[in-house]
Amino acid sequence: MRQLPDSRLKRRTFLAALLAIPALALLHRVIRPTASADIVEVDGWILKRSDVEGDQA
Amino acid sequence: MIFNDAAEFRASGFSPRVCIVGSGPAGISVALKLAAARVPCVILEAGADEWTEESQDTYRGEVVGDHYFDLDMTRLRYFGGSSNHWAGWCRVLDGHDFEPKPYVAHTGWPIGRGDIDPFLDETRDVLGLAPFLPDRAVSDDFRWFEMQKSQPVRFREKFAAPLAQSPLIALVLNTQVDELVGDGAAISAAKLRSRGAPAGELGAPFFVVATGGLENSRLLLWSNERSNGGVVPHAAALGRYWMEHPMFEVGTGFIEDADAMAFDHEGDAFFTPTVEAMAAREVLNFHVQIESMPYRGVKKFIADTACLVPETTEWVADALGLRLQCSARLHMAWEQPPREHNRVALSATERDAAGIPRIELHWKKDDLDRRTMLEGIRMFGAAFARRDLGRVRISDWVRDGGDWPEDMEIAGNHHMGGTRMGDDLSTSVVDGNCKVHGMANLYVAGSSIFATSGQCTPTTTITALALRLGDHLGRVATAGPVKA
Repeated sequence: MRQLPDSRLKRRTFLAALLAIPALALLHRVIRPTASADIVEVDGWILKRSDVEGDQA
Repeated sequence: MIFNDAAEFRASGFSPRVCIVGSGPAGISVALKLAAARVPCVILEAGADEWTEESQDTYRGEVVGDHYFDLDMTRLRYFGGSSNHWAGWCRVLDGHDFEPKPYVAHTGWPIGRGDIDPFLDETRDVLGLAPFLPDRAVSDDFRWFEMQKSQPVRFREKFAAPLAQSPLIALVLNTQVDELVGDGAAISAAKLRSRGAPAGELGAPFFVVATGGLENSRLLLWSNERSNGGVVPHAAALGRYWMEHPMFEVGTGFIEDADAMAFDHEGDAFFTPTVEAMAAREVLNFHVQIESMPYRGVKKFIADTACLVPETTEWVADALGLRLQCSARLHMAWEQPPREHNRVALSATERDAAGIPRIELHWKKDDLDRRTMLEGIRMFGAAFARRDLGRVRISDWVRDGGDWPEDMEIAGNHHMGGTRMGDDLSTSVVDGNCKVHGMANLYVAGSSIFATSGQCTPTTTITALALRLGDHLGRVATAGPVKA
């Protein structure tokens, strides 16, 4: 595995950024309704509606 | 007793009450029960005691329809049959698998799970299995179940010594049955070929065909053609309603609650739907296999993150020189609907070295296969999310209705149907006792008698059904043939 200088720090930074991305990224996708009000399908992901709309959903 | 050819066997003077064709799990299980009932039997094995190219060539054939395995690779033709490449995964058909599903034609068996339950202890002895763990509900719609990954029994290795020492079982190697001779009411003899040359006829009061889930149909189709319908007098379903377990990787995912998964020693967990969940969506039975990746700590985190935002992490992966992937892969295997057009047929042009037509296998998945796959994984994904066990992403080709991939598992090498069990003469070949309709002394053993396939690997059920047949024949064979 190729190592970057200060890779531990850089990875932490990247990973912290990645953590914040999923919900934002998913909101830009087409949300496919399902037969169940609590479940949505986004880009193939089977998610709880609260995953993409937050706890108020 | 083990003989190397028909001449050696004839010289012994052994007189069998039952002639069993084939020495795989089904044939040997029937023989074990007959011997326990003190009924002398002979097992005719077409191959030798080891794999040979010449023997295997007999299994070559053509597949018409969907992409499938080479027919001379998907089964084995020597002592022990296809147990010689069996993976050892075990599970018995569930009780509901024997019941009809009102929304799918030709489902339901004439027997129930309760008919084979009395033979499951012996089945475990034969296959060397531990007692199965009970299923466990993980949601209203799904149960976790144990796919017991046993040390696979090679019937040749396990039973060579017991068969050699048995005074009641004669195993004859290098001896195939070219055809059975029947008059529409009973079988009178089997025409033999030993070491490649015709070897006369062998008579017996009872015959059991146990040559595997493709060859059973082939032998009976050919015998019936040669005897003008005298072997399977009600042949409308002969060779038909053939089934496999299609198997594909259908998605990826990440796991939040690994403890709830109860992964086995290889990192797999298996889930199957409830009857009610199947009925609500009008799909057939299936299982989802979650194959976990062996990651821990930061690597697992990275893998899960890659799963969540693949495009972003592709860029990150390039930057960091990492190979990122989701921490779980999802595989599905499902029950196929029994369709008349999926069938084993005799080739009109190709023959083997004995001059017998080769197999032409017609196999094509249809809309219900696709529906079971897509709606099944959607249903599983929803149950998975609601319980916060993790999240599932369905592969694009599954959602988009793309072509069936040819670089995945494809199917389980499970050959079922062709001589299916039933009460209706137009849609089945054998009755609830595995006896060919209209014949007094002809029985079939093996997965070709499966009326439906369920979702699980077939060997455990094959063995249980064969032990049940052996038990039945052990009583019938001492009394003489019954009226057809």
